Amino acid sequence: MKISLNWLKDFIMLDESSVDLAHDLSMLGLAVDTVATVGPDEILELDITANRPDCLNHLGVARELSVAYGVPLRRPGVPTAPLPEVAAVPVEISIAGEDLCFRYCGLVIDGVRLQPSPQWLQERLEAVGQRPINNIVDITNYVLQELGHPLHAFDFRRLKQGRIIVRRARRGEKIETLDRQVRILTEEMLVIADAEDAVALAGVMGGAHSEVDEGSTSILLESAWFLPTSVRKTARQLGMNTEASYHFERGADLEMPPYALLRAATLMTELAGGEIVSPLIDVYPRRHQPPEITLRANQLRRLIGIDAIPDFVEKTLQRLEFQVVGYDDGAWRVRPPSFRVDVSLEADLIEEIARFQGYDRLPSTLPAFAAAPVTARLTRQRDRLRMYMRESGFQEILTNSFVSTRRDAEFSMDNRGANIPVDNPLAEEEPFFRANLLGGMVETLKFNENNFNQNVRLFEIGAAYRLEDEKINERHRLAVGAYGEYIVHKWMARNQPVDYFYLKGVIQGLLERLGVSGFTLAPGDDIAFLQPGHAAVFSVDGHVRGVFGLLNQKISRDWKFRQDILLGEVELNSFLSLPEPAFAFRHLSRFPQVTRDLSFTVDNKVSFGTIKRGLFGLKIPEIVDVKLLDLYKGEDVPQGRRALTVRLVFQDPQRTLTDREADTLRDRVTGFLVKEYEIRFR
Amino acid sequence: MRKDLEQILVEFRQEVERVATDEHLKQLHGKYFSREKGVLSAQLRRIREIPVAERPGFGQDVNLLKQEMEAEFDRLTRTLADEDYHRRVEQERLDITLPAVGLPRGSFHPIKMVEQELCGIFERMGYSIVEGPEIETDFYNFGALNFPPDHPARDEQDTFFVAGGRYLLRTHTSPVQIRTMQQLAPPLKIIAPGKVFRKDTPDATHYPIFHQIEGLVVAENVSLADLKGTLHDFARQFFAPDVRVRLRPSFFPFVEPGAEVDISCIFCGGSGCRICKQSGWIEILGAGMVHPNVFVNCGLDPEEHTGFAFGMGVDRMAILKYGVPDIRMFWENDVRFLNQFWYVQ
Ligand SMILES: [Zn+2]
Repeated sequence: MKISLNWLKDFIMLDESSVDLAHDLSMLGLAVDTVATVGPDEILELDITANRPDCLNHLGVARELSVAYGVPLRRPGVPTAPLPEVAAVPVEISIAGEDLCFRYCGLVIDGVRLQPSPQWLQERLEAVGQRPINNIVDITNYVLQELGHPLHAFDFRRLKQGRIIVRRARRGEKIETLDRQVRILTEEMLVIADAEDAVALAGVMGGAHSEVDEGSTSILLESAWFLPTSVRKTARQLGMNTEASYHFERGADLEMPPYALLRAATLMTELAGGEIVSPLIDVYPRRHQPPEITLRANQLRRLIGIDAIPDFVEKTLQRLEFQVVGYDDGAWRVRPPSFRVDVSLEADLIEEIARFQGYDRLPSTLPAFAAAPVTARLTRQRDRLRMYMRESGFQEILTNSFVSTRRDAEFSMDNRGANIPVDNPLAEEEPFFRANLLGGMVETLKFNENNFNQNVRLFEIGAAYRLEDEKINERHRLAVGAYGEYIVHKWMARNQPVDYFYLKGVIQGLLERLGVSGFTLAPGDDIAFLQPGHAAVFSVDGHVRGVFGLLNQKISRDWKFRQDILLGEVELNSFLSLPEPAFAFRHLSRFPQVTRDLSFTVDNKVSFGTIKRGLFGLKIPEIVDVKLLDLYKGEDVPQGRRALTVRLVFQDPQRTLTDREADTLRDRVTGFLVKEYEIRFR
Repeated sequence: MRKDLEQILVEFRQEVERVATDEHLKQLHGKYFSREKGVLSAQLRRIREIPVAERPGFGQDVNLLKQEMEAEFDRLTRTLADEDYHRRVEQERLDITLPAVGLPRGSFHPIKMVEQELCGIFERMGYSIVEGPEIETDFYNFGALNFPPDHPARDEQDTFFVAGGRYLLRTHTSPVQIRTMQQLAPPLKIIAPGKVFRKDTPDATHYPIFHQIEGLVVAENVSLADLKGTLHDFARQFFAPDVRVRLRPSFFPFVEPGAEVDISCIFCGGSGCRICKQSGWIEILGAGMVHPNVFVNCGLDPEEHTGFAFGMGVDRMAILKYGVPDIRMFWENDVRFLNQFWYVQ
């Protein structure tokens, strides 16, 4: 909101420079964004918070300064001459919706002449960013800028039977508003009506039919108070946001209507040549009831850390036009003025004292207590995972939570539940909240490939959401994606490209980091976005926890990727809630390992994992490892079979194994392999 | 030494001079030191021909000769090995400026780094980290935080609604205050990092998703002065030891008194520049004393408890700290951008 320095000086003596004023206002909580010189005037742009409608005008800002500087506040004058006791014209005002309109004041001015406002008034309005229209409208705007109360002028002749009825709209009732839009109303909306029709949307905008124009000579001036939530709902439902609704929905001053009305009427008789021909009609069914608030000196100390001087407290409140009703036992009883809609509790009063004491003059201390640590395990575990991924050479990314459902579902590892729709999306093509992380990952990989970035390895850890059984299901997930080489040494031909086994190593390490020792793999042929035969689904304790593998070649082609893309996603929740694995030190064996290598062929359908599981299944304690040394499929290997060289590693923790013992163990193993998997030695 | 023996030594030395290769060396060794056919063995065998009286003298001389020759031969062997070594060094010399092996280099996202740093500062001050969901209800995001229904204060946080209006995307991390106070008994000292969402069209300074860190302290007697001291301590650790902190009254429905917190501009030191819009101050966070209604909404008695809360934008801190000109770069994840932050991790 714009405040003119010259205008302020109508109400308060000011010697301070605009820069000092800007600082002082900011420190009072009326943040000044900019100060600009406009002709002979200076304009402050204030950012008034939603709780301070009383400062959305020049008098209100002047009041704050008068308290801060300790100088008197001069209010604009209103006529002392008596108003007519009886109206010269038939006029009647009633309120039918007094739960939404607590007060309605009106008076009639006759013989006005519509014309441009005088130069000084136009300049003032222009200085604060208002466009002058005509003297009547300008005066209502002027009073709004000055006192902060929205007024409305009706062409009195257009009000049937000279009647004003504040009532709820009839269902489907129509009104053409000043902006020439026909509005269809609902029964919740409050209107100002004449004997027959709605003539204004209460607190939002006047109607076109009763608009003041060149032909108008007699006007009815409205100064009323409408319930903030009612004005706000009406304005929102109709998609309107007016100066009036802005003020009313923040809360107007219930005691202001007569004063603002007289102020405007006075200006109109002076500037538009009119004459007040009715009494000030004040329909006021719900009187202002200021709360009585207790302010305890010890609570003041407790909350802001100072011992306030009682005299300072009292004077500050009184200057702010609070009523100090009494003081006993270290506590004041205080009634806030009607314009301070933000004050209803002791804490609100304490803020007033703190504001005028100056936040910068409050002491600075530290809380003198310790609280029990409650950091969630999830937080710690996730940080460990991030650390692991970074150590493994992956770069952390953050991707958009807003997705298209097609893209999101395309890269879903399980398709459980449904995407959560965003009711009011920012981008029409991204109307869903993400249920998976891999869509964003693939996009990021593509973005980097397009930017000619080589050898990219990325990860993201984040929450994804689904609607499952009408409930929001939150899952923390980890996505990995990579292309190119993870070790680059081109000129020595020692490049190491990322591939399925590289990613497997990363996932395996990740699970170990989480304290998961065993997982099982199944072919990932059913994962639509991965390449059959180059993908795996992994499970822990029988539950699927993630997938990884090569991006499906058809999808890769659609995306125009120029190289192999590796992807993986891990569902973290079940891991993050696992108990911390108990660490137990194990003694290192002092006895050497003995190895025996076996070269054989085996049917392609027998996987290495099957053989390894089978060998460990023999429960021979001396077998400590089974390593794959070589894998070969060539002309000299029979069709449908492949050649493996496997190293058996034997060790006894208590003693050195003899060659003979090792041979015996090997023979047990080979016997098993021949019988179980029909291996043939080469 | 006897003349004839001395002559042998002279000849040996002459031959040593001529040895250039390992092959020569071997031949030389055979000729002089071989047990059967070597010159030295032949001389030793001569002892029987020498008169008895001269034998001791002859023996001594042959030994002397042997020592001299062996020493000479050792020197020669070492010299040849040295020459060979130097030759090899030259042959095997690397071009040490050839490219290194490109090893995998991981990194954290700059926003997460700043988040971690901020959390770390408060953790060292005894705070615990708690988290809450990104999808929230009106109650946690607004109602319990003392935003009345249909109040303009809600306008400042343009909200995304989801699932047919039943839920919303949290517009701030403040709902975690409510969840924490419902679940844990005071005294409390917590911070809550996380993503928040507001319906802002993306541009250089706006993105509809950003990160906040919420702080909440609740005890019997916590004051605005404690809030001031805490934020001071924090700003000195995060920005610079000499940074000044200023609190201004402001409004957030869930605190009273409320404050906006500025630091002296870290770019101009407070004298005024483009970044601080000539004010010398940069706004960094909102804060205040927990509103009594919020305590009541969480089932706590505002007479028994006081507390303060604060909330700051992590993305904004990252921009201030690293001078990133466009907030959207954080979301593009161009690895050339991410790589720049590697050395600060
Ligand atoms: Zn600056």
